[in-house]
Amino acid sequence: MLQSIIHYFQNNANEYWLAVRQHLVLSFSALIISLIIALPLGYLGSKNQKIADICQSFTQVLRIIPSLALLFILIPYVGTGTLPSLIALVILALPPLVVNTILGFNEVPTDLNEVALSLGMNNWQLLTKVQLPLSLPYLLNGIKLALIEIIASATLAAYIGAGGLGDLIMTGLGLYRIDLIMIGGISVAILSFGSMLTIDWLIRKAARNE
Amino acid sequence: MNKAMIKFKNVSKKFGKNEIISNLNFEVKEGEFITVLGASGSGKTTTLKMINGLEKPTAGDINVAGYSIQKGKLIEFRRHIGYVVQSIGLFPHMTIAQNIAVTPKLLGWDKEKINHRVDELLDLVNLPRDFKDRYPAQLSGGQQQRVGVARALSANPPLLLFDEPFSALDSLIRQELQHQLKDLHRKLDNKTFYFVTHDINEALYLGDRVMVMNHGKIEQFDTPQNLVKHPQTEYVKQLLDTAQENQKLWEALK
Repeated sequence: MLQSIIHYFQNNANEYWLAVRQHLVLSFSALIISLIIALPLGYLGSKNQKIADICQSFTQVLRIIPSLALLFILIPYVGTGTLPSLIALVILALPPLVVNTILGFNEVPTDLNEVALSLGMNNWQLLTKVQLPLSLPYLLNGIKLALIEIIASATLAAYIGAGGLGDLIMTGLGLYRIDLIMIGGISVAILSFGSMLTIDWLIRKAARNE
Repeated sequence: MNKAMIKFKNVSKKFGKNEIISNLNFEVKEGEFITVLGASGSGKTTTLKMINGLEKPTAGDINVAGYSIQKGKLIEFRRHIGYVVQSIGLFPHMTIAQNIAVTPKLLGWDKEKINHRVDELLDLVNLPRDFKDRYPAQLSGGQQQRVGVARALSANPPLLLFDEPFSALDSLIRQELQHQLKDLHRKLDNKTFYFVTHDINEALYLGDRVMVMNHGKIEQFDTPQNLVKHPQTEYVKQLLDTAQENQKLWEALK
């Protein structure tokens, strides 16, 4: 077993790193796109209860749909490959991001908002100098949850031809090669765990002065 | 004669159907130290927030330093009014120096001028200069509120608003800060202080004139001496009685 894993790395290192790269590119593209959607949405949600309610119920529905189902639902509309995978991953990442963004902005004390305005900040300065820095630990927490979800679900994206570490696992399943399944599975776990630790470290750094 | 700094003309404020302020008229002169005394719900904080436009009046006209609040550019305008609150409201993610420098930075001062001003202000509020690089959480409540006062003074505004700034501090520190604030007002030339409190001793000690508010109306607006000698309404009388009640307790315990 161990020998066949070593053997795989000796002969197929290029293939392996390609899979890792595909996995990461897919995951981080999905994260960035979902951030671009979720941050403004969360900001509006923190100001307007109606938008917040809509976001909440939308996220409840999304939590019920399994990741794999979401991937397959999209096939008739956008086909297979990277695009539907990306769309599915973005949809999966939105709930934790939006919910935590709303939470983060709501956690900024009203007094501090009032003081910031009284000192002569406009709304943009209030957002960038006070609200964003103070809600950063919450935003990072949302990013952490989203990223874990994305990295895990990106494995499934191999089913619809988006490549990545899921390819290794699928090939392993098809050929009954336990070594490939192990390599793929453990790599996904390491990526997931590593991103969690990194962001936890960032959260501690961001929250240090509060 | 001194010019008027704050002028309220027939000002009313409603939250929904509740009328918090009804037909308020008063005038504060440049350089005065005004204390506003009232219970919670008397409308004193709402009145203060209308002075810097955090709350907008439902009716009437407010004039501050010659500008009509409704028409003026609020953002630019606020940079020239100091604001100190009960919760202190220092930004936890900024150092003391950065907290003090918020308004000067917004006004586009250069670095050297800002540094110089921060040093000057720390001296003025009796804080050591090496506090500059500390964060608010590393300071005691009294020290934090000194920074709050320094921040309010940062852009050298002609008018400072205080919203119960000392009521969350313990009594020894509160008294020390009261003395120093009174000194500060004397030292700074021609600055108007508008100070809201629910502590009758604080109001009588600090104010050149004391505005007593109750249910959104002014009961009496007079010097501390006149207030004590000639209380004009039942409410003012009752208020003064409570203070004297305390005095009796002291005498009895001696």
